[in-house]
Amino acid sequence: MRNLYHDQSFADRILALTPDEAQMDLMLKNRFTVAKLGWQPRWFNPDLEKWLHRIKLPALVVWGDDDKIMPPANAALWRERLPDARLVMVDDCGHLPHVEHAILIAKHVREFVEGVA
Amino acid sequence: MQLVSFHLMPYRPLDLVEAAKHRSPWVVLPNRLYDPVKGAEEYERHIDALVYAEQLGFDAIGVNEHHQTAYGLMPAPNLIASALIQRTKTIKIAILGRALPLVSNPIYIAEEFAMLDVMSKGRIIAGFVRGIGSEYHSSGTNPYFSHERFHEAHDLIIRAWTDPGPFAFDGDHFSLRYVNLWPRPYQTPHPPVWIPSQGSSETIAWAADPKRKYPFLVTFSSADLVARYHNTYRDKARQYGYEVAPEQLGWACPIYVAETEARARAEAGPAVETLFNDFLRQSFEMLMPPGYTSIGSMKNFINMRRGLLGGGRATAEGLIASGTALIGSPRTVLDGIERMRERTGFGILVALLQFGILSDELTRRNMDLFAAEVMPCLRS
Repeated sequence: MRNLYHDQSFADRILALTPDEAQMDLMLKNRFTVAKLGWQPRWFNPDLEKWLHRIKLPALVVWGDDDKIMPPANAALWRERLPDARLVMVDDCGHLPHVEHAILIAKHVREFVEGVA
Repeated sequence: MQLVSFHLMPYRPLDLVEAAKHRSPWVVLPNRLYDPVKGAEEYERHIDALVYAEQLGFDAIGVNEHHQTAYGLMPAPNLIASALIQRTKTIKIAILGRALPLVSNPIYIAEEFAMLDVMSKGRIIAGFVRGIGSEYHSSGTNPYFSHERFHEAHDLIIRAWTDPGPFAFDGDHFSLRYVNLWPRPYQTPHPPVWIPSQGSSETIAWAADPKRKYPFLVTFSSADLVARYHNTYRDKARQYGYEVAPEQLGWACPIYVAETEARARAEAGPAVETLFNDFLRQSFEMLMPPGYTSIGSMKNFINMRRGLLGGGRATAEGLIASGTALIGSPRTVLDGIERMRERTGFGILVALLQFGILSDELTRRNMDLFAAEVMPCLRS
C-alpha cells in the first residue's frame, strides 16, 4: 500500500479505514481478479515489449516520477517504443497519478483527447 | 489413537538476529544465511530423530514439504521418505504432504509415491496439500487456480494409481495422452490419502465427501479452532449422511513433555517461541495470496487468524493457554489430548516433538518421555 503513493497521507487514510462487509467483498474481488490475470508472468509480460511498435495510434504515457511499483525509467522506454507517444512525467507522484494528482491528470487527458479527436 | 512423530526439519543454526532484519524467513530470506556444512549436520540429526520414532513405538513418521524457507528444509519430502525407508522396517511413513498444484505435471508425484510405496512394501501414507500461500510466491503458481489444480491433480493421481493403463487424461490444467504407471502402488487400491489443512471450508467439504472420507489434519491452531474445524468436518459428514470415524480427524500440534511443568516450560518455551515468531513469521499477503481461498474463507481467516500471525510476538504461555502447543508434565499433556478427544473424537495425533531451535538432546528426552508416559495411556 505504501509503495503505491508518493504522498503517504493517501496511504495513511486508506490504512486507517475499517472496511465494512460490502467494501471487504469488493476489495477481495478486485484482488482475486488481479491475481487471476496477473500472477504469471508476474504482473507484466516482458515479452510483449516487442509488439509496442505496432501500436500506431496516438498515445499518452503518464508516469509518476516516484513510482515505486514500475520505476520511471519504464516511461522513457514506452515513449521510445510507441511510434506516436507523448510522455507526461508527474512530479511528486507515485504509481497512481490519477489518484494523487486527479485534476492535473484530467487536464492532460482532456487535452490529449481533444488534440487527437 | 494413531500416533505420528512429525518433523519440519527447521534450520536451527539460523542467525535469528540477522533473519529478523528481513521481512520473513520465507521466500525472501537471503540464502547466504544457509550454511551447507551445518545443513548437512542438520539433515543427519533430524533424520536420526525421525528414525528413532520406530523404536519408541509410534505408528508413523511424518515429513512435509515447504519451499525456500528456513522453517523447513524439505522442499522434496519424498527424498527424506526414501532415506527413512532404508533405515526403518515396519513404521509407516506419512508424507504430509506433497503440494499438488505447484507442479507442472502431477504424474511425477503419482510415480514417486508409487515408488516409495513399493520400496517400503506398503508403508506410505500420501498427504495431499495445496501448499501454503508463500509457496505460490516461491513457485510462481497462480493462487487463483490453486483449488482447481489441486482437484485435477488429485483426480489424475488417483486414477493413475487405480485405473488400468495406459489411458488418456484430459483436464483443464493437465492433459496427458498416456497415463500408465510403472511401478503401480504396493497398497490396494492405493496408499491412504490424508489431507493436512489450515481449515478452509472448501477443503473440509471436499475431504469429508463420501467418495473420499480422507482423514483431515488440522495444523498449528488453537484448541478452539482445532475443535471448530473437526466439528465442521463432522457436521459436513452428517450432511453427507454418515458419522465420522476417529481415524478421519487428526490434530498436528507441538508437544513437549518433561518431569514437571516448570521444567517443560523452561526447556521448550524458547524453542516454541522461535517456531511461531521466527520461523513461521509471514505477512498476511504472503500467507494468503489473493485467490488462494474463496472470498468467504478469506474473510473467515482474516477474522480468526490475524491474531496468531499478525498480533505481536507469541509467548509460550499464550501458546500453552490457547492449546496451540501442549507443553508440561505427562499429566498435563495427556489432559490436553484427552480434552480434545472429548470435544471432537479425533483419532490421529501428529506430534511435533522437535520444533524451532529445540536441541537434539531435548528432542530425544521429549520423545522418550512422551513414549514412556503419554503413549501408553493413549493406547489403552
